[in-house]
Amino acid sequence: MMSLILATTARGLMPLLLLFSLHLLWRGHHEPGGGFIAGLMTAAALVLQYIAFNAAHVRKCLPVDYRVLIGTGLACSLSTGLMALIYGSAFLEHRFGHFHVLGIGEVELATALAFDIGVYLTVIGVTLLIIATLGDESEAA
Amino acid sequence: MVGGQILSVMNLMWVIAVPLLAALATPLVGRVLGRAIGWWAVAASLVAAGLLVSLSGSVHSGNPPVWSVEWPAPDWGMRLALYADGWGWGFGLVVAGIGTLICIYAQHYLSDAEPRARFFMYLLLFESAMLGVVLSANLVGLVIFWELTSATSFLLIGFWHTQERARYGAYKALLITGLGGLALVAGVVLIYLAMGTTDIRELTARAGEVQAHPWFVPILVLVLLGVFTKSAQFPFHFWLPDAMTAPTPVSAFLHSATMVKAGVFLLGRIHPIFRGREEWFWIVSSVGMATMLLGAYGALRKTDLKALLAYSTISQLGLITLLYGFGTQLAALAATFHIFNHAAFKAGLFLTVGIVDHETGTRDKRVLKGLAKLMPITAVLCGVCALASAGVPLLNGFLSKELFYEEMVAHTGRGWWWWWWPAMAVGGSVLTFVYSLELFHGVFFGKLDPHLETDHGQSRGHGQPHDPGWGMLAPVAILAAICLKVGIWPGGIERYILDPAVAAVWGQPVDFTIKLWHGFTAPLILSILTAITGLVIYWQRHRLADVQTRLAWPFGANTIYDAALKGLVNGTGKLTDALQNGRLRSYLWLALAPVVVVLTLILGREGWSRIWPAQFSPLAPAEAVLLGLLIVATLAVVAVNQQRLTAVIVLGAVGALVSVFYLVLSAPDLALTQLLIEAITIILFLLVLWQLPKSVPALSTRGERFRDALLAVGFGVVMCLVVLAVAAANVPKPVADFYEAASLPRGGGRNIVNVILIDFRGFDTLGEITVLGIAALGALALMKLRRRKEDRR
Repeated sequence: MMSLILATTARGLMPLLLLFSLHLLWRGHHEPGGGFIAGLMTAAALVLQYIAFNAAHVRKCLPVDYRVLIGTGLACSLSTGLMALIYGSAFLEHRFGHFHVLGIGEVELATALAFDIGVYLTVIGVTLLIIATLGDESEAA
Repeated sequence: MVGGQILSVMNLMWVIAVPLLAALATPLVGRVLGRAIGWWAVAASLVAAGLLVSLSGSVHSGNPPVWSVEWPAPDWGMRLALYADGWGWGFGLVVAGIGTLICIYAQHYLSDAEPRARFFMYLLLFESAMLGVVLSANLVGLVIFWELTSATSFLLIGFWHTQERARYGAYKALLITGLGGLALVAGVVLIYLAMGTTDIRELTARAGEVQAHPWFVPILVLVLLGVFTKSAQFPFHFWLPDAMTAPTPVSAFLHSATMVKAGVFLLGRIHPIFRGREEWFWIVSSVGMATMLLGAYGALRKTDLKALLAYSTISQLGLITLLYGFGTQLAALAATFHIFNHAAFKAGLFLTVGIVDHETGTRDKRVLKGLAKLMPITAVLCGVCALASAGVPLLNGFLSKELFYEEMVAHTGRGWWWWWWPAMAVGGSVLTFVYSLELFHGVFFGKLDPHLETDHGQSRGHGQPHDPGWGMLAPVAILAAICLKVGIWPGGIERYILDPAVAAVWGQPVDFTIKLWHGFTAPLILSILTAITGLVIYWQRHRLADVQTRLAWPFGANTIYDAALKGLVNGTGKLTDALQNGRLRSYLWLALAPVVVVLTLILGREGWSRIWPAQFSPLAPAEAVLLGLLIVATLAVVAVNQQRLTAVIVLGAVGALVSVFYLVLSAPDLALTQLLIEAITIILFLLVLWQLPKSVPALSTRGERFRDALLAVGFGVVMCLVVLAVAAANVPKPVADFYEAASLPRGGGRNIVNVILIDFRGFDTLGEITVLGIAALGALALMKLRRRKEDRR
């Protein structure tokens, strides 16, 4: 059973929610936010699609295997930790620097962000894997 | 000169490394060589033997080569160190030499259907581990190789793993020797704690200190447990007969030069450290005596030739153990000599039984008769080995048996009751004589069963039994030749091996000569007595069998083992069923009740003053309102919990209120997280509730509910007190101050929570997301598994 109002709202909200979650991820180092929160936000946005439409629709729009997403996230976090070893620092020791980007101004880039992206991807993968599997169960039941 | 020494030291390492590397390469080489892979193993064993021979110069000069590396943990006295004193070197030579013969034999013994490459890989691994045991200079290394022999012998005994008996035998061998191995580990740890070293040479030099130490007896008992389980001494003898489910070449190796011999090897190794103490004598010699008699008696009851041989090994090892227990120079010589002699004739016997089995398809001594007509060469070779085992003159077994008698008689001057030892020695030897005759005369003479002659080898399928090809005969012939050579001209090969070995076992060089004829002495009289009695009993053996049947004792070590194993499996099963009963309520009880008890004890010890904060911060009106709402919402959850859907929604409201609370306490990150988690949790709940009945059925009785309420209240109160105690705790320097100060300059971020999560405590976070990932995969597996089960139904 699909509700037209919910479907329309969900469709309209989707890009906004995703953009907002990316914003949370980016600003996490200085303002409230970060990979964990952003990951939950994205997962919530996608769950909304599951509710408004159905699993088949979401799978069509987002042809991603959540298990691969978890693996990618973990690999991302782990490799930022390993990168530190190459520079002779301790495992997971982060670096940051301020760069001047033309037209935008002073931008801070930190390896911590890469680590946070890993957290972000893992959280999305874990949340959606569990919910989608449970959802399949209920649909079948 | 120096270069030569370095070379020989490296050779020591290669003795172990060559079979090991060859084993690892076997699967690949096997693809090239195909069914000829056995020759690869032969070559590896031969190289190991050759390397040992190349070390003979420094061994004989009394200057054993040593090789060591500072690995794995030199700070804890653990380093891999090898040395080749006379004992380890001589034993290693026997291992590699017999290993070579076994590989030649196995190459011809295995049928083409067997997974050859795997067989030879296991065999080489086993050989390498055994060489490690004999060459270790350090007890820690020795124990590691010791356990490796247990593990690899498990693979070999269970080689025909599709057979129930093979699995049973392999499992039993692993359990018994593994348990003994644990005792040995404990013994080595005690030695290290007592003496501060595990270096065998140093321990030997400080033998007096070891014997005077107050922990001497516990150390002795633990180490001996390792020895006795490994070399199948009473009451741990019962695993060995079941280990005969291994392919025959493996049994031959296991019984002659490896595995069970590792036990007596260690006995010889620790002999110079422990010998001379009363406890050593009584424990070792009594166990050896009991094992010798029990094994020889048991051998006569067996109709399966391999079982007969298994019991005979138990008996012979008992004899060796008994001798080491005496701790005299002559006893050490006799035991060491007998180890080498036994290796030769027992390997030969197993290999001939393998030939008989291979040709006739049976090992039943009641069926096998008169085979000499069909297999004359095999008969001769078996005769040599069996008579050596019986202790007949002109063969090696006779010489060591004479030494054995000489040692037993030597103590009779201490009092008439010391005649007990020679009496029992003769008793055991008579039984040995009888079963040796059964093996040779019984199988190869008498009236040939016509069925055997015409039987087209039901199981093996190559017609009438006949002597096998040279590949299976040659190894036995070499062993038989050694038995004869040593028996007639003692003084060549065995001086080469025996001299340095006895010197190492005794602790200093020993001057001796072994002579075939040394006058008409007490040992000779005992030997003659043994032979005559043995012949009489063999002649009347059907009567002996009657007596044995009447004496049969239904209750043995095996019964205890089986019952203990069954009890263990059932017991743990019941424990698991009790704990993992699938009822959420009992899990909560198991998890929460201990927490309540432990926390109450801790809080009680701290006292009230440490729990109750000295002052509370004032309650703002907004906070008061929030708290009130929170309490009402929580009570509502309790009130509506029979209606699942309503309960979940109200629970969501509680969560939302908590997140508002975080906001008021200026923790926006927490608030945001909590809110998102609430949203997603509710969806999860709904998905699960979809599959459950709408309302909770009333399952508990009144009493149970009262009990559960008590736990709930108790847990709530305790947690509340813990929170208060945390607030009251007077932390001298809150860690928060550090984070606040360091966040921007060192982490490059103003959001302290985030910097902590991904930078300061990034390792924790990495661990947490890993756990999350694993949990998700686990949940996936569980749900998919359930689905598949339902589909099947």
